[in-house]
Amino acid sequence: MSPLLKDFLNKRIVVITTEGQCVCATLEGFDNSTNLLISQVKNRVSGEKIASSYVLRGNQVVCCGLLEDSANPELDLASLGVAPLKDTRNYVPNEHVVWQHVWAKKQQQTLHTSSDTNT
Amino acid sequence: MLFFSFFKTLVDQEVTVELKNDIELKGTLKSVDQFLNLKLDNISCSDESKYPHLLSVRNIFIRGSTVRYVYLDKNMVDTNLLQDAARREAMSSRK
Repeated sequence: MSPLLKDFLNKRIVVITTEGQCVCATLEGFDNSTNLLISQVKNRVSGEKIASSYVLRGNQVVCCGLLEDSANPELDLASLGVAPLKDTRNYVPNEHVVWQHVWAKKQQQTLHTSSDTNT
Repeated sequence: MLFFSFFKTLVDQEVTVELKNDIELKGTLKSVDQFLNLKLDNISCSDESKYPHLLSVRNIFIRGSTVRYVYLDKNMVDTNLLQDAARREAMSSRK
């Protein structure tokens, strides 16, 4: 049982997901695979309410931080001009073009070898 | 389990963690668990102006599966010892 999240129970936390979403919520519960039960979910940037409670699957969690600003509870990030967070996927842009090349090369090679055997 | 033990020896040291979403967090390593989930204290984000989401956060839990790199100081690691231990663990798991 991972006790690492125990200190965050029933406190306001910031959660970043693998999709690049950033929310602010109260941690109600968690388990071994970091599935999180959170409540009073708000968007971290705009402060807009998303849901009253929410189960976040563990594999979607990137990190969760303890909010400690009792002085300025929801600091106004909307006015700061925040860049959207990236997701955690490692994808190659225009991957199909790469594979098209590989395929074309392979075709050429097979053409060559078949013409070699014919002669 | 080797790297779990290894990270346990790094507790209370300053490390930089790069996540798979390109965020870099610098902080004091507070605890580790079997999945290599990390807990950092007193964090600072390297690119705070671009990602201010964690501005008012000091204590953070990072899921091990989303870590890309953990940057360590050279003198924190005894590479020879670690290499030796890794080899020994590989040998013992083969039997």
